[in-house]
Amino acid sequence: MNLQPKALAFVREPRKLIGAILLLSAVILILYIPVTKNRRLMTIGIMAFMYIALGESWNIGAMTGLFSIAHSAFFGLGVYGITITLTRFQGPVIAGILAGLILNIILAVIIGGISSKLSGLYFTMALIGLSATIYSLSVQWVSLTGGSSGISMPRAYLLPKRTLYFIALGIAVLSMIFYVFLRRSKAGTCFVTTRENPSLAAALGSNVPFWRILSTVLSASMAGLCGSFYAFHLMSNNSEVFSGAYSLKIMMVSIVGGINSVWGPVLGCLLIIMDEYIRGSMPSGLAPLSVVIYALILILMALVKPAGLASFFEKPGDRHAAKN
Amino acid sequence: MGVTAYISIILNGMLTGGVYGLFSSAFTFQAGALNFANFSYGAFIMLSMYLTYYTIAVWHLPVAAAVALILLINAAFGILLRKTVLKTGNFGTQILCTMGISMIVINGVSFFCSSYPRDLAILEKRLFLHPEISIGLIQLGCFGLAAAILLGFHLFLTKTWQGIAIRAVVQNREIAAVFGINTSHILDLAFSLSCCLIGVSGIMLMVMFPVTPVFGDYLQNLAFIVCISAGLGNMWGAFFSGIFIGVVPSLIMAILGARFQDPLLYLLFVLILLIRPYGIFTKNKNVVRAF
Amino acid sequence: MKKICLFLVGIGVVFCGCQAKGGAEDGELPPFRISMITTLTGADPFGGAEYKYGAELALEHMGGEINGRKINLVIADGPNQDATISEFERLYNDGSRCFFSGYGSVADRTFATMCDEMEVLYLSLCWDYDLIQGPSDYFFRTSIRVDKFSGGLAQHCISIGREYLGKEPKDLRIAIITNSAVEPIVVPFEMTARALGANIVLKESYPVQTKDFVPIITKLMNTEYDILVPFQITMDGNPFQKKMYEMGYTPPVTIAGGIFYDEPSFADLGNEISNGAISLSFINPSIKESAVPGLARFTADFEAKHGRKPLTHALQAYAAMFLYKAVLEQVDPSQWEDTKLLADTVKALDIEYGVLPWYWGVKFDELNNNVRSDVLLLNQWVDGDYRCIFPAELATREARIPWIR
Repeated sequence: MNLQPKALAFVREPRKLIGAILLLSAVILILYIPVTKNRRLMTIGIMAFMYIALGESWNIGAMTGLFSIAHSAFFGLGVYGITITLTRFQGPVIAGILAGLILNIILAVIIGGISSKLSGLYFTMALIGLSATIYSLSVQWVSLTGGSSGISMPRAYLLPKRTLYFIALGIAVLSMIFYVFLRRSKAGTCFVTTRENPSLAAALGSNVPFWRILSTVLSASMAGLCGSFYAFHLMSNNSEVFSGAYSLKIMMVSIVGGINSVWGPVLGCLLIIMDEYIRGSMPSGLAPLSVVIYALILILMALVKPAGLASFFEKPGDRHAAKN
Repeated sequence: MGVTAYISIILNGMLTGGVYGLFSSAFTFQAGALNFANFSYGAFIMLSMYLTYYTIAVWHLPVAAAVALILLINAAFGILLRKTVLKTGNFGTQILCTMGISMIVINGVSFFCSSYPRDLAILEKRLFLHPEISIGLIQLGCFGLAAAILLGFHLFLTKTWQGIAIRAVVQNREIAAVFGINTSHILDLAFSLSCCLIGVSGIMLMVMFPVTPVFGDYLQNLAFIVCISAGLGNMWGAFFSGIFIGVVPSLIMAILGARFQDPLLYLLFVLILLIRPYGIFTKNKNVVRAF
Repeated sequence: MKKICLFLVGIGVVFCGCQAKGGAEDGELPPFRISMITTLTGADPFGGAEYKYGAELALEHMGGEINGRKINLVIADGPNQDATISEFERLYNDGSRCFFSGYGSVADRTFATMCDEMEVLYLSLCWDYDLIQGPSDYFFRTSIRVDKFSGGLAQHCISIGREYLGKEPKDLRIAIITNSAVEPIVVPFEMTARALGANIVLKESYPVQTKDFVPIITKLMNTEYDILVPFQITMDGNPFQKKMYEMGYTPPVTIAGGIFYDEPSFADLGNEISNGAISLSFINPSIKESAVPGLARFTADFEAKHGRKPLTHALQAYAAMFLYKAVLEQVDPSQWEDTKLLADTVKALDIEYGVLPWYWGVKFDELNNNVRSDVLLLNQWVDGDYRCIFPAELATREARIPWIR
């Protein structure tokens, strides 16, 4: 057992020290950006924070082994929930956020139910089928959703970039805290046992389908909240929020960053920042190339280091020692 | 609408469905027999379509050379995939890598060729069985060719040595190795063959329809629906399922209206997954959780 | 260890890179940037390219400068909404403060919310209904609103029904074919047509990816109607028209809502398919040349440069540049950096019809909508030539409805 004070032990491990230094510099950067009033940096920051929160939500689903290949469905429902409530029904913002949450919970319960009946490739195809249904509904139901050109948010809800930046930062930090809290709670342990050994968990009396549904619901709700925020950022929303491009980015953030760690999405959003920079500094004609670059990185990371970037900062034995 | 109109629509749906069945059977072979979740499927069909367009309409290569080139490229990609992505048995990794490859192919194509729809601009003659019922001659030809290719593939798998070896390896790899079959070469062969099927389907589709870089995603979703309703691994089932999936959206369009085609089709897909995920045509119920 | 340091270095370099910006030049006034983001690549690059050619030709006709100060026309590629918004931010960081829309105006509704905060002058050619959500000092709608466009089309259908087909609205049967991407345009058309008493006997809105049109065409063949009104883009309009021709079917009268139907790719399908088709455009170079000065020069120079006649899109960009000229001429070149001053000048504009190359006048109401952009032109294709048939004072050809093949 380690009798030395925690601080010394911390310093002795160079990987953790580097991690801490990086974190500190990131925090300084984050607080400095709003001071510069540089719109481009703030936009990149907002996108990075949002993807951190989305990545944490994906990781929550991954705790029970949910390979959420169509996570943009949850995200998009949050976006459309608030947009439709504000425009078609003239409801208050809270009602819009609640509408998005309710839609997401319904979808999550359906998916959680399906995950108990199907597994592997079949489950993945079911997810794709569901998300394709939602996408086609959003495109064809023109009277409600505005079709593929979408709906604009009312001008009265326009927020200045700085406010959006701090809201996004708040969402990202809260999502990370929530993830840690969930992982350390009893529910978190039950989630992980459901993934690692479902038959044993069931034999020990754990209600496996319930935990699956719960984690899907939590994952979906968090993604939906990010979606509601995104509606305020973009101010004009169309059905592209349901597309595979967003799903792939969310998965990339989580998987390349590291599935089992709260810092995973933080590292993963470096890719998002890189993508925004590349797209921002080169003419849009070359934009498909930036997708090619991050797809290549995704493939490389998936093949070479499936545990993700976060595992660079942990020693091999760490995971089992700390998490058990 | 009269009966003749419905007959026309159904016949037309069946012919298109034949080609859907062809590429879906290649997918079901990969997924069911080779245990490979290939999410770059649609992207490669789209790539084959673009290659067909460029070799024939832009570079004016002779047709035989164009077909050979496309088959070769597809086979090469197949081998590349097998050497890199298929090495890991991890299902999640396979999905991610193939999705990544799909994004690369789609964006590569839109970068080099732009997203403007490409069309071989062939005006198809129609065969009039009746003043109000007509079928396209090219579609008929493609349907016949698809059926012939599938028949040929079936004969290959049942009558030739390599085909039987493939089936042996799929059934039980270790025992097949004990019998002296070079399993990894055989799997390479099987995979390349199914990729050649992708190439052929791409050529057929290009002759019938125009193409854009995102067309592959739509085709992939169709392939999923067809394969699930047929049961993974069931190639003949996939062909007939393809015909079914060719007819059903057309009927939905004709009866309810085009607006409902996509949502109802995908909802039907989800229902099939919930009720009969092992396939409408298969009796084997053990496929699902064993994957 | 190495990888971690690389990360740190990478972040640092990239952060420093974005801080470095070029300084201003001294001496003579630097070229003034006018920017446009249009779809040069993407699903419909034809329109985007036309905008580029039109704007470049305008700059050439102006001599590259206004009142002695050089103009720098900056054109960026925005194939979709996200890319357009990124390009906007990038150009803003490079110093662009005056914009006009590119083809499709995909992100204009987002820009409408950003321009006041960023102090960017934006002359929008977008037609979205909810483009203007509130008063603004910097964002202006210079073009027509979509419901006026579609509503105008409905009125034209009714009048053609009356004059050429001899049918009163209550006897007039209209079939609408559209795809899901452009369906928002169709909604006002349907409402106006019904309000005027016409019958919509068929309305099919299919997913934009549809390639197999036999069921829809079969349905159309089995419906009794007088006028076909298609709203399609190239991706579906092209196979649709081809399949109709292969099936040996010709609609009685085609009056289209623009988009695919006023592009040369429709005429490229062949005279047998395109002859007689009518489409609605806002502004069109093939109106009476006496109606607008300089139109003949525009058409001739465009054809000399690009080998074909210009269409609506090129004229829009060309005219937008001349609109900027009208604004910038009123302000001293050294004061052009004061975007607020330019915006106030735009608000106070009062230009009559027939002065700018696009024939429309320019006068903004209190919500910055142009009240003089209400002229719509009905044009007909004959042998690959797209000419104006209504209104009479701008027409250059007699309408032949229905077209007998």
